[in-house]
Amino acid sequence: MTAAPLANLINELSRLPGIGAKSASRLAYHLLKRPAVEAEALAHAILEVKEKIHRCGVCNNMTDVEPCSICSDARRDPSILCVVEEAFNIPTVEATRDFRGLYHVLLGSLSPLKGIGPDDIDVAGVVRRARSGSIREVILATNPNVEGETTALYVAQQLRGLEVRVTRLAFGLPVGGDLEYADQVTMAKALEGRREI
Amino acid sequence: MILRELATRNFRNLESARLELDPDANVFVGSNGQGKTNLLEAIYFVSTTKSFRTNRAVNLFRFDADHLFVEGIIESDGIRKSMSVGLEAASARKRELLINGEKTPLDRYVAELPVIAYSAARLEIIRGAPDERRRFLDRGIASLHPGYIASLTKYHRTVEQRNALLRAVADGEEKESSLDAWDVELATTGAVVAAARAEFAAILSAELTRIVREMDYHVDELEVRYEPSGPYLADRETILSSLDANRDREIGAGFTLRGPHRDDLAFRVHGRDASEVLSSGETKMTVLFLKLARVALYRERVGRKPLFIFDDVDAELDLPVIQRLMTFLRRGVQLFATSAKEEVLSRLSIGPHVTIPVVAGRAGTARTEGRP
Repeated sequence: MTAAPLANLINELSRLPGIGAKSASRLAYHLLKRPAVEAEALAHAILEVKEKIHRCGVCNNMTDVEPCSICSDARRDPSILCVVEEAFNIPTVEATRDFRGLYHVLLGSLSPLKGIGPDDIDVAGVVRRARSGSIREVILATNPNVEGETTALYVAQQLRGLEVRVTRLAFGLPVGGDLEYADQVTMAKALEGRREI
Repeated sequence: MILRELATRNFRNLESARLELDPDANVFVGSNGQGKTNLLEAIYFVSTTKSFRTNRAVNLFRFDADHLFVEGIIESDGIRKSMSVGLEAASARKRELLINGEKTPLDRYVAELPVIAYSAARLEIIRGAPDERRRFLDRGIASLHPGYIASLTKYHRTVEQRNALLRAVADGEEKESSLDAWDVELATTGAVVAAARAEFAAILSAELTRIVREMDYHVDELEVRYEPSGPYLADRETILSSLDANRDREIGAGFTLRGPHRDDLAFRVHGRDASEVLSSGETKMTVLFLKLARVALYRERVGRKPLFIFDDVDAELDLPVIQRLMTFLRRGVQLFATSAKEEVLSRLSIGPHVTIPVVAGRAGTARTEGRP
């Protein structure tokens, strides 16, 4: 029988994404073995993000200032908006250093199986910002899976009629990938989006 | 690709052992219930991660075993690799797939060692429900284009999502207009699946006609035709307007009424449904010819030698036809066959092969035959 406080910790950890019962138990026993200061530091870090980090009122990014450091950066180009599903997608795009526009985080993607419809994600925020006039292009950078694709289609439909160029991230074969294993939907889309070199 | 060795642990009644295999032809002989077909099944399983006899993985475990493991040593151009499938009884849906000890995703794993199987269970292709024929089509396409599996998965995922949305719209939880985006995605992924199936059905039909003629078989007016559900072979506008026209009915039904998930493949003899016209023996031969057509297509398109699994060679098939089949197969597969009647085999000229006796789940000493 696992002692109640330990079982409680395992249970809490196993609710984290990507952590199953086994990993949760391994993490819990690891924390037990380490000095108390380490556990305090972890607990403090968790409490601190909950206390100090919130969603940016403009773009939904995670931030400790309002608006976030990207939205308030005067060197960035406010006429281009990159739409992503989750805040953790932003660092991925930022890592390329090639994108100097602004972001909008949808907070998810359409998934009727999970009961997530258009009103459950922040499509309205994208439309509102596109309407404001300063935006010339909206880049849809949702995931290349069925849900992300459909979300991009939906956002594009909502932006129809506005004076905004709507683009979708290019699809194609993963760099270093093997043509033989490319699925045909991806291939069809890669062909559709082909360009001259 | 050649299967050189097979090792099993806790697979059906097979004794845990390592078995060396002949690169040309292997014939497992023995009385019924000894485990001949289990060996073929293990070969099919290590290649495809599935069985050709059962959809329930629990049936594959030795009685009371909590895990099972099948490993094959394969060889291509002198290079040997190991590939293995591991299953735990507690979560039989989770398969551990390894190539040379490295975890490998399913699409890459199954592309490694192509296998085409014939057994009595396969008669469902003609007699069974449409989903049997869709599976037959999909397996055939995937063997030529491994990426097809991912396209098919995307299509099915889209259908599932769209069905959930149709129900949500019917219940007034979502606006009807939120279907628009899902319709576009369905049209895109569905068109890819339908195009691949239409192309495969056409080349399969041509190949089948050629083989039936070569085998000099009397059922020669056999036609195979792809019967798509919905206008998925048409252009995108046509697909979308048909979805639009059916929208109210689909909301009422709560699921997607037409599309590649409802496709069928029609077998006709002189214009009549083959399942009603063909005798049991003729159905067997037809399915066998279909498998040979897949072998020929695979050899032609991929340029490699597939494994061919032929369960119960002597069951109700007539000897001259079996002889022609064997001659055909010898041209381009590594053959794995079973037979309960050694005297039937002895009257066939199979060419160089090894005969492996199977008794109580144990493979005995192989006898090399037909080799100088």
